[in-house]
Amino acid sequence: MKCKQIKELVLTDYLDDQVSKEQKQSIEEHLTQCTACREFAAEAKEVLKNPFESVQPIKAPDHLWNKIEGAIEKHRQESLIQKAWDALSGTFAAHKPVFALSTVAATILLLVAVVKIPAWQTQTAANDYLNEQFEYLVYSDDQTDVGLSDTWVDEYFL
Amino acid sequence: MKPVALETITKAAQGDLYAFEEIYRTFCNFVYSISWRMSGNNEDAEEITQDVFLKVHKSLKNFERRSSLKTWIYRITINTTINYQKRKHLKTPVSLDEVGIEKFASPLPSSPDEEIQDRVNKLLSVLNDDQKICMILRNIEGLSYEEIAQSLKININTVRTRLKRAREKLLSLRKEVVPYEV
Ligand SMILES: [Zn+2]
Repeated sequence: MKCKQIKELVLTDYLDDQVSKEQKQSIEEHLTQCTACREFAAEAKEVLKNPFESVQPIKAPDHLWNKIEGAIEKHRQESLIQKAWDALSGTFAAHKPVFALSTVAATILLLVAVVKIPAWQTQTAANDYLNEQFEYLVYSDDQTDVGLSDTWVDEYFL
Repeated sequence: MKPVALETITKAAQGDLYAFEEIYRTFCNFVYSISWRMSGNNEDAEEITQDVFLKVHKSLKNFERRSSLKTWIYRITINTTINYQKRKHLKTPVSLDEVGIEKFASPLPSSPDEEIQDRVNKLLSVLNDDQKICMILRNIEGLSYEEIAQSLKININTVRTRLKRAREKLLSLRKEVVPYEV
């Protein structure tokens, strides 16, 4: 191998221990014979490998999970409100007062639930409650065809 | 890094927050570390990390088991980090002139650990984002060429080329800073 090739390998596979046994052997053979490449390899190791090896691992701060948990909860609530709102406007567009009324009632209950029970501690209870309300909402909407598909129900409850 | 059980992934995808927290605990240090090294400060790193896990949370149900969860989260992390950098107009690599010898010879941080971090950050700051991410994944996170290629969706020779260019740059830089290091 020529010096140029050796130097390229030194900078990549050799430095990163990604060479085969045979490759390693032939590189090291060259390094024992060629001063320029040997010095290059030594410098590469010193500048490009050593400083990184003593780097301490970085840890995510402890409070970060709470922030993320809060953001997930906030997003969940906003989606619920949005879906409820969409369902509500859809129902009125459907011109079927009987179904519209029942949906309005369900939606109001739902919104109350979303607003009143925000904390994760009450999540299970709230979820059961919301599930019930939503099932009702979805069933009552079945015949009014406001375009509620399984997909968005899945998206939030499955 | 302990692999996350399939059952945990399924549960988390179904909205189980405890399961999701387990995924978070497994990968948060990796995600934070990458974003911290790419952005260079705590606030941005926190924002990026939060963004990554919200994306993971939102898309977990679409996660295809063809790739490993690890590679998938790595990929989201890298994309989010690089896009964030672009948005913040930080993508332009700092030229040698801007970094300046002065900055490299700035007063040393208080502890030896900080000193090493500082030195590494300064070295990385002269690379462009593509080179920088390859260096971080290889030299600090210890990913193999294959893993880097998968995480970046590039081929292995591109990984090699980026590492080579990055390292050539660092070597040439070293020649300029050596007299000031002592
Ligand atoms: Zn040679």
